Amino acid sequence: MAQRYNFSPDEVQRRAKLSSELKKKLAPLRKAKTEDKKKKPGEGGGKKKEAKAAPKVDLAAVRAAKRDRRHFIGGTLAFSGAMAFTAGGTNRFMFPRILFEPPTKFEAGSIDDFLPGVPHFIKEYKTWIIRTIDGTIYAMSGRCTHLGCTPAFLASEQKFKCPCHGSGFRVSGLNFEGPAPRALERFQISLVSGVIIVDKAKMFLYEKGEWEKPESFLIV
Amino acid sequence: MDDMLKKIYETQLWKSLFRHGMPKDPRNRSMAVLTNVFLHLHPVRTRVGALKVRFTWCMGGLTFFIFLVLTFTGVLLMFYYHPNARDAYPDIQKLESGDVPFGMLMRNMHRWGAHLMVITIWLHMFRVFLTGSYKPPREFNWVVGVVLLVLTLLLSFTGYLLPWDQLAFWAITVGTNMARATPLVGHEGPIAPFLKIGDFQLVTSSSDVRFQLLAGRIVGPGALLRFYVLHCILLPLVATVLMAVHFWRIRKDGNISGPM
Repeated sequence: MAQRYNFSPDEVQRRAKLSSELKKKLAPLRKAKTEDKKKKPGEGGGKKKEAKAAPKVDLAAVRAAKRDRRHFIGGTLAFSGAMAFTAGGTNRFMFPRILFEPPTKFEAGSIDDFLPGVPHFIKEYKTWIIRTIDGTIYAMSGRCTHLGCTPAFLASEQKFKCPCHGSGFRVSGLNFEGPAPRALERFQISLVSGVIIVDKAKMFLYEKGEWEKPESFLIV
Repeated sequence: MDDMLKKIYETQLWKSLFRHGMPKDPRNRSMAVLTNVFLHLHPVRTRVGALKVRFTWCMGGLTFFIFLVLTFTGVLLMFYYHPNARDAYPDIQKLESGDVPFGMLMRNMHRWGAHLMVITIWLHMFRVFLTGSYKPPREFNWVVGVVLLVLTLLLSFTGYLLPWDQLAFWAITVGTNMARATPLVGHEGPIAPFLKIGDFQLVTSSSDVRFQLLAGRIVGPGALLRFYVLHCILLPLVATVLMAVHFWRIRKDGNISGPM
């Protein structure tokens, strides 16, 4: 103590005296307390019984401890459950039920609306309808496969050119220049009583050989 | 004069504001810092060497100052800006055309301040790297700083959409398209294609992280509002809390590092 607080020798003596006096005062109280403890389990019994009773487990205390533990685990589970529910609800809140976006399925027009060899852009749906000279029609995505800008058709060079990073695509949709990693996707196309129906939800990828599938083109 | 000051010091108002004497001795000087909520984040004592501009470049402080400028000008801009697709672009034009006095100044302070903040953060990190101030015991504060850098970049990104012009639209189109490739929660990213129940795909273009960011499958009015809320409320709040931690940790991690 003296070292820790750097007290003067007088102060050290004074403190030592005080603490010994306090000890003397408390001694009878301490004694009474320990005697009290010894008496309790052996009330009314002899010395032998007393010795046996001493290590007896206090069942009530154990039960209380168990109850406390269950209480704690139950509370923790209930709380984490409530937190998980709140987190899930907050996440769901970010996904609205109604979208004000064009539907994925739409009527593109009749076959005669599209001239052979002239790609036709349907702006609202970001989709190219392409009728080739040899008589097939396919619906092609207008979203660049690099980072989603809209390539424009350059008639003089017969290619699609993306304004953002310069990706180039042939009329077929195959990528041949710039950073685009894949060909433009084609959409499901069908003819219902003379009207071309395009469904953007069903895509056909060149690299998977899906352009050969009958749903991906029409033959005129 | 002295009597008057003495009287002021003894008023309850003064005593309730300042719970210490005049900062004339070391104890009261320390108390002045410790009992002030703004100053207590700052170390009580600073080494003379650490105050040299050629050592710190003052880049951390400058970054904080620019953040304050951006907060101030940003709040002012909010008085004239409606975050909806119809008004957003005309509002920016009004600010720039002179319909709003000093509108051009405020908008450009905000815009150039944002650019400058990224530069000062870069220089700050460069300085911290060169002086080895990222080493223990300051390694955690470096991590906090990196999170703050990411928050600053996200603030720049969300603010990019708000003018609602062609540049903004295509920049955010390009930027958020990268979110498609997020593992697990992006519908074109790894793992996501395998998450399905029967034929039902769990992560699609209308249930992935990009949808959550844009409130749709394309950049539209919903995206504008979401970016506005992120830009003006959520990200600045998180950044402010982390900045408090960042400054406080300087004090706790053995003060500003000085030249060896």
